[in-house]
Amino acid sequence: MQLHRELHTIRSRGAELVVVGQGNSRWARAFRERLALQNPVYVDPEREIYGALGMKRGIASQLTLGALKNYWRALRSGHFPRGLLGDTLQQGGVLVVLPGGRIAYRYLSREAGDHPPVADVLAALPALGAGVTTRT
Amino acid sequence: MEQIGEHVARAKLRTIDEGEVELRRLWENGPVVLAFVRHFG
Repeated sequence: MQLHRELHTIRSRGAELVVVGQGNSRWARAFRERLALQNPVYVDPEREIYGALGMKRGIASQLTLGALKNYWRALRSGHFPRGLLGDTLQQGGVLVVLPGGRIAYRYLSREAGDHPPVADVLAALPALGAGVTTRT
Repeated sequence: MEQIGEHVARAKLRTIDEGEVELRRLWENGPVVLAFVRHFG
């Protein structure tokens, strides 16, 4: 999660950052407190929305060379996982959604630790009315 | 521009205080960046 550091920029462009995770409300509350998030955090308990929006799930997206490199990079940057909660095979992603439910940007993580370039997400915000950018 | 389907838009998310909100409510008031995290760990 890097986007929370861009909350001010996101809000300055008239948008809101919403974090969605899997599991339960208690985990979500602890996550929000630990990272001192100022934005809303919600839970998709059965991962119904993850699946409907195309987020990957499976061992093939978990045990990859890229995932290992991402894990090592996270460790080197001082991010030590506190344990995996929920479905460990589930990957995440980022969408920029406009009023009416139009998708301006979609990034589906290929493997663990795969995040969209923050600049790409921010670039999608003022690009209202532009076509969908999808990268899986 | 691709649109989130009505069925998905009506799916319910749980709030941190055990309430519920429909997904579509999130973009009612403007653009939203939806960050789906792998896990809360």
